[in-house]
Amino acid sequence: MGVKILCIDDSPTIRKLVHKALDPEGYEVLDAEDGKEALALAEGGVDLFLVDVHMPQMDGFEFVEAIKQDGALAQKPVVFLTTESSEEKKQRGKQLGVNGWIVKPFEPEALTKVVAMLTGAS
Amino acid sequence: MERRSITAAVSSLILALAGAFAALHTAVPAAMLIAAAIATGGGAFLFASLDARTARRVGVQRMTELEEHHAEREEAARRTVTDLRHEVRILKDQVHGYGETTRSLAEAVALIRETAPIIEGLSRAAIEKSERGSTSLTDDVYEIGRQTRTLSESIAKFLTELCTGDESLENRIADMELDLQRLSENAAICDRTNASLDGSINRISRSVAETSELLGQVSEIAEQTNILAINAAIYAAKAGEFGKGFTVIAGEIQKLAATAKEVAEAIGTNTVSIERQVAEFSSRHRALMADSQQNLSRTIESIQQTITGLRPKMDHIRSSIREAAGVSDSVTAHLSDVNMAMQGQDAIQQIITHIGVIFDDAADRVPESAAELLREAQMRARELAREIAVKHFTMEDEYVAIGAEGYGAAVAGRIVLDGGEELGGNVTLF
Repeated sequence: MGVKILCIDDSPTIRKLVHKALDPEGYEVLDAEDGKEALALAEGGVDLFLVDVHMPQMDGFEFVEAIKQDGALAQKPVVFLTTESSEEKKQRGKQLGVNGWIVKPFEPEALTKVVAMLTGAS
Repeated sequence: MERRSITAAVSSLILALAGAFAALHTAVPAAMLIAAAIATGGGAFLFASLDARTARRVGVQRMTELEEHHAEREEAARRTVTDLRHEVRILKDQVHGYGETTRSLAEAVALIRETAPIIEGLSRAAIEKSERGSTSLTDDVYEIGRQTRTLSESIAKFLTELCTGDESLENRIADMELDLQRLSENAAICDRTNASLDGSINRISRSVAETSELLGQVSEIAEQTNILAINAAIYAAKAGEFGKGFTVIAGEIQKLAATAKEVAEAIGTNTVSIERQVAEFSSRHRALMADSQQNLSRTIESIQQTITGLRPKMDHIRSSIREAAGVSDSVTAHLSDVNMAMQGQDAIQQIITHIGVIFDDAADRVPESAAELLREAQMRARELAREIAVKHFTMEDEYVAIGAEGYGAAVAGRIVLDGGEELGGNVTLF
């Protein structure tokens, strides 16, 4: 069974591009439009979360707060994949225990390297 | 100021008024004022300084001053009133102007507010259209990239196999060179065999000639033997009874001689036949060998040309392998660029969304006092906003985005041709 990545982004374009970057590397990529849908999907087990900050219903920070309350998911690495680049937001992410912050547009190679590093697949 | 001096001043003022009334020949008010002066000030001061003439003079003087002052004040008040009237007129004009401006502003704000849903609709349409396009485009580009990479990898693999391994073209060329060497050696062997065969045929010819010569001798011996047998028979006949046995022997010898001659002639005939056949074989063999050698030479030359032609092609193939491998890397790099460009598309969608949200937010912050004015202007503004928007529209999607009547699915009818083929897209035939 491959390494499972859950991408949470309201943009179908970004979700597709994440697939295009990670599928060929052998990752099993799941995707969700928002935090609520992602929480339901994460019940099946996830090895790493790729999270957008600005999303409808439940934003990225709220989602991270939610999974940090979940015993099984709390220790799973989280990387924010977002257009947001303010230092204040980054610090907030860091305080929440987020492992990485990639600002869009992301380079596919950079994404695959970060994912490999945090999942131990490298 | 000390109380005493204040009292003196008040008394002086009251006396001045008393003087004024005295000057006006009104005794009662003057007396009352004098009494008041007595009440407010010291009696010694009042009675020491007061006499009727003085009071009259002071009162007249004060009265004159007051009249002059009154006239000045009256004139000043008149000017002030005139100025105020002028200012009131200006203010009225300004208020009227402000009213007009406020109404215009309200209409403008209402127009902007009514433009907001149009912009929002257009933004949503742009985002949806862009999203559909970019999603489809991403799939297509990645599929093209995948196929190109697969193709280039197959080409590289094929070319690599051509250059390496037991079945490689390189080895085949080496094999061909080996075969060529063997063919050349065979050609030399053929030459030697040919020469050897020629020698053998010559030897056979010589042997045949020698055999013919020997056969001639055998025939001659047989002839002589026959003659001897005939002579022996003659002498045996002369010998009578004693020669009868010898006559039989002579007859047998004669027969043997005849047989020997026949055999010698038959051998001679066969030998000549063999010589002829060998000569014919030799001739055919020479012709065959000449053809074979010619073909062999052509084959060797052809193989040499092939090898000579293949050598530079091998270099080209090696170069092609590097290029094919480079294509795969290049496709990967280009796909990475495409990925990032598509993210730019997504960023544009976000910006469009933000424009709409900011517009809405700003429109919602119009104060309530202004909102009342806006409500009056709203209906007209709504129509005007749509009129302005529609004036600039050039695409059906834009009309659909604001819900304009007569556009959208109802208009996008399908056209089926005679053969049953359905035209794709929104086509209108007249």
